[in-house]
Amino acid sequence: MMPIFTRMLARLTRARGLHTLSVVFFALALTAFVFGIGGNTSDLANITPGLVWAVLLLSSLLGLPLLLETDWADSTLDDFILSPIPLPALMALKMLAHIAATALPAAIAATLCVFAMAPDAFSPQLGIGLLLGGISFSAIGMLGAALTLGSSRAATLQAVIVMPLAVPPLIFGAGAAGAPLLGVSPVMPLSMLAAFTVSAATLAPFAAAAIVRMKVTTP
Amino acid sequence: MDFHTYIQMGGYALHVWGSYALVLLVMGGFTIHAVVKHERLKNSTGAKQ
Amino acid sequence: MINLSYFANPARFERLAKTLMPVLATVATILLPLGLVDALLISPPDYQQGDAVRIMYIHVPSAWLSMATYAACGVAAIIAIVWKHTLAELFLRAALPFGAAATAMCLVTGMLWGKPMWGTWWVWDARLTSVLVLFFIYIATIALLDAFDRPEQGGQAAAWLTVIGLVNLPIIKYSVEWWNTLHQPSSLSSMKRMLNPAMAADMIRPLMLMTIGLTCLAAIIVTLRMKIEIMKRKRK
Repeated sequence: MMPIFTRMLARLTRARGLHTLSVVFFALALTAFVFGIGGNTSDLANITPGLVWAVLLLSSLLGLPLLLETDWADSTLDDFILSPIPLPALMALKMLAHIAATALPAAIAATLCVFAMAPDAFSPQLGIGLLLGGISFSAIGMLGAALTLGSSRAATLQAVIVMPLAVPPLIFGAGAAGAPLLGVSPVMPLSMLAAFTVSAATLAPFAAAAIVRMKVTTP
Repeated sequence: MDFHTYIQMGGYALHVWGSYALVLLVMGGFTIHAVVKHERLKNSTGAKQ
Repeated sequence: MINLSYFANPARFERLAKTLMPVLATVATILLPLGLVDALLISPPDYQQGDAVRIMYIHVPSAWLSMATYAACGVAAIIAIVWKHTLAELFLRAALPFGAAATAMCLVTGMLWGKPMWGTWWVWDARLTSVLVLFFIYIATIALLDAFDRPEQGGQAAAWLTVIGLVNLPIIKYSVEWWNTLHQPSSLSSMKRMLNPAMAADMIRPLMLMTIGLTCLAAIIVTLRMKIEIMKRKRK
């Protein structure tokens, strides 16, 4: 399993530099928001937790067109289906590779941004929440990538599919991130986020596997 | 109550009539579109066979 | 072989449609004019909301149609995935755009009602937000239907997304409900008061007439759209 995972990860990072790109995209999108809102520090500090969460969602969309499309084009997916390893396990590896390549770097960048822009909102839980959110977004993104396989408008469709489905983790996560500013405990939203993330990350590989199988076998 | 007062809907004319017009437009539009297209397709497939 | 089983089922559907359509059309043509007259003329203005309450008689049926259509699509999607039933895919093609339109109708009539009642077009409250997300899910599913070279691929992909959306809907509802209590509980309570008043009989009557009438019209629309989809498929 490990060599397969390493190969999947290398396909996303070494060949395409997705880890660097997602951090760069995260920084650029956040800066765009700051320019749009204006640089007033006290205004910014209040909305930074929510802003960072929204930008994390946006940056999770970036890698989706690369997630399965190349494997589909060079018929790696057909090999996956024929492989002795169950397809959901391969999809889970694929998801983990995507998390390592995009969600993890973006979550670290997001935590650092909150630390710099809104120190009052910074806490260890914030980083955990952002990582959980990144995993959730990757799991949902996996579904978006699987559903749009073979479409000429895949990238646009992925954004339209993923964003409404990502509303629950976004709400819980932004709620947990903003809790310190409101003087509320982040435990409740954080545990809801964790529950969502665990179920999404468990179910997504099975759903993605079923969808990929459908895509490959539907005449 | 005269017609003019009725139309005004107690000051909510725009909102009440606007929402009824919208529903009429959407439901009517869907109905007409479906009926017309259904008739056209039915006739053309009938002619073909 | 595939063709045989495919044409057998649409034939059964056509027979069902043939018997149902006259009934639906009769009920709709009787109830809708009655309901409209009742809603706009006979029923009394509310003692608090005045004539603006008349928006309820179309807003609530729109909300019902929006959610009932999604529920029906959910059932059809499961059938389409499990049994690869073409008719179920065609139902999605027929019903999803109508469901999106009903959701838009629900949102806009709600805004038109909200402006005079709350003083604002939009509140980020639990109900409004979850209906907005439902609208987005409808749009995404419709976009999937025609995103592929082969319509079967689009039908299957849309069926999957419909089922995923079905799982997500209660989560959205509860997540925004929780979210709402943090930020503005007041609008929720006013919303609840507004939607669950101890309703008088002369308000329930037009509401029922409009709901049943519009549901029959919706069933006619979806059935016709399905027959159109079947004819389009047969031609190919």
